[in-house]
Amino acid sequence: MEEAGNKKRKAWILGFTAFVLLFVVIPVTVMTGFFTFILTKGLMQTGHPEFGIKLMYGLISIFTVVFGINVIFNELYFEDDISYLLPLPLKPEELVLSRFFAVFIGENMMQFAVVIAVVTGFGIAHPMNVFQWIISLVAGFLLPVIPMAVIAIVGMLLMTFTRFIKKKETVRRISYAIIILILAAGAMMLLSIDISEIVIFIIEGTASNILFVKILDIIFPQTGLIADFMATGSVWPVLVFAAICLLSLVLLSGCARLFYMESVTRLNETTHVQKNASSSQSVVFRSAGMSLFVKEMRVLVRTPAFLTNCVAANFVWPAFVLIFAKILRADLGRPAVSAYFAEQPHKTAAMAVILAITMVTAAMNCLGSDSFSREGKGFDYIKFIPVSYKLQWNVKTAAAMVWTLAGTVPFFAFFVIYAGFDVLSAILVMVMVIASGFFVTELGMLLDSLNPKLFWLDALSALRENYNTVFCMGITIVACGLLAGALFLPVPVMVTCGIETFILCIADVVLYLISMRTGVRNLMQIGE
Amino acid sequence: MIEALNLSKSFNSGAAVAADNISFTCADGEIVGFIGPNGAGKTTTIKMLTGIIRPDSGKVVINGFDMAEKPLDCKRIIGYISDNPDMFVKLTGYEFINFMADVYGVPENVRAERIDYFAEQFGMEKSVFSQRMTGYSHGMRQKTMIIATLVHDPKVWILDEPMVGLDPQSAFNLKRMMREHADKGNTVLFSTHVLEIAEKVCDRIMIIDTGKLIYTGTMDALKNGEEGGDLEKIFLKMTAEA
Repeated sequence: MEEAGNKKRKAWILGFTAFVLLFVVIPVTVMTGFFTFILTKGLMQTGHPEFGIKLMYGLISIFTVVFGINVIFNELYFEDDISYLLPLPLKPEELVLSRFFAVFIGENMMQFAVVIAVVTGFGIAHPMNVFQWIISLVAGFLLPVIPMAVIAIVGMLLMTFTRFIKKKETVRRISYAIIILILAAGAMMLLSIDISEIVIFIIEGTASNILFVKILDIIFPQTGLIADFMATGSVWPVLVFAAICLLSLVLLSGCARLFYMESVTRLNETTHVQKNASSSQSVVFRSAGMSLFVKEMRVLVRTPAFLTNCVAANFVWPAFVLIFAKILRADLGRPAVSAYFAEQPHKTAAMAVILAITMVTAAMNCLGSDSFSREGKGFDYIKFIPVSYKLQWNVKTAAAMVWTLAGTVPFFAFFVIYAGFDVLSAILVMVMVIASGFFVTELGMLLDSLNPKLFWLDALSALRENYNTVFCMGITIVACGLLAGALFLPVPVMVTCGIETFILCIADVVLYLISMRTGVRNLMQIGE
Repeated sequence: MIEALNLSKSFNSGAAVAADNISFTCADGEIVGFIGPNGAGKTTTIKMLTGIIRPDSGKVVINGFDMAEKPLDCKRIIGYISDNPDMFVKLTGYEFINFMADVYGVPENVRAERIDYFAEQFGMEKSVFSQRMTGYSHGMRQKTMIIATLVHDPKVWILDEPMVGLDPQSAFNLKRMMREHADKGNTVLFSTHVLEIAEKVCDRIMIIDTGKLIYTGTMDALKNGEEGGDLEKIFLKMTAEA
């Protein structure tokens, strides 16, 4: 019976993997390639087909930097295994380069599919010879080398010559500050963009005068070099790119030899426990369920990786919506907004967007799909405390829903009132938001109960390498596509919305019953 | 009382047998030591006793409650100390202890007294409990886990290598508490690699190797049965023969 259970679980996992590959990864890759194709075709008419590639590679490089800071610092300085490696007879450059390449490959796994799509889209629009195809793919694969090497070198210098970065927490705070700065700078630049001016710049070949592009050229020169090679076939840019890559690795190796050992051995990770600190806490009595809930919330908020990726992630989307509205120079005054959304097509689009944001945010925040994985090696407590699995499951659902709904309900409630929705429509929209958020959260938990990732060295890797989140996102995208698409049927949108909300509520009940039976059974089987 | 009846457990579709038809009883008033080489099946057996994993076959009965039929009743009676104290390190000591006390329904005034008592026994200043466990040493986490486990005064103690990381005074006090707990008519089962501890503290010992229980009985009977009476040599001989 155990063997049958394990086989069934493996079959589910294989099935989900195939589903995500077929319905998410491949379509997204194809769409990215198609977008690049269209962009390149358009830019070819301006005589500058490489501009699109340059921008896309620039964006990819920005993401590499934003997400790479924490990862590289962690890998070089704060991973648990470092204290075991330091006493070994290893050269510092061997240690640093091996860890650097481990991070490089890990990061590349995520973005290389996008790079392939971009190269393919460009190559079909702007024919390249075989040599260009091969070199473009290799260059795309090596795209993260320079930014990551720069991060590692700067990091080593900071760790060696400054005193303030001695703890993981400090690195996290600095990286989050940098992320916020980059996002704020990006938002400000986007807000100042006039799209018609950009088109003129591109046509005239003076696109490098655009502030955003200027900054990209300085920080990420490799993007321009690769783009030039792909557009012209000239071998010099790619040779320069290869030389810069090699140089950055040589510099990294040199820095490692000179500075790494000194910086890593000066770390002070064991926090000093204040012996005479005041005892500001004492005993507090709660019910088992409430105590579990409070514990769940504390761990979410106090673990930086969970705080940013699971909690704060719910509150990022309003900024993007506002920026988008500003770029389009939309009139955000109430009369204009009410008049705009009084029209059926606009109302339909708004509801589709509301549904999409709710479902995608709920999938992206991993609160459901990581709920058991987050326990890590402490998972056993779920099994030995005298609290029923059902209650523990419901507590986790409640904790996940608090943040999911906090990031959606207030904003959408404000929107439906501001946009002048009638009472019935407003209530229907809010019920749809709650029902869809619950659906995705419960689905994520069910997936995580099948095969939680319990062995991780730090909280970030619990989230990043957890395929349950990918599966959940895949199913969510398909469901969201169907539901949002159905809103555009030639039927009054509130009728469709009502039917969909009803279906979602039924689906929630069914999913909940499955969770209470199959999900709980999955929990009991974990570790067996 | 702990009753393990014909417990068997294997992993990897039967390729790895962790427990092979294990049966034993830990009576009220006893301290029973559970000894065995690495990978012998101690932790698997303990996990079956505490409900963390289910046996492939066999039964666990704790003070008359069948773990398969009444798991919550069993778990309420047990105080389980894991071999991994790195749980909930984002919580302060107080938050962790209160959490465990809430789960087991310990009244406020009672838990306050017990926290004071255990803190004194383990030489911990209560101000330390206001800080997050990320800053604790391994030993401090172990002590905090012990306090959190025992705060609800469980009848049955199941301890998986509880002495690891404890300073000599704390280890001595824990052994004394184990003796006092058993003398009140309760049950203590603990696993250890340190034979001297088992020798000093236990009323009976069980030796497990490759999933099989190869000895269960008193220390004296074990030593009398062999020449020289050196526990270490006896243990090494028995586990080599198994």
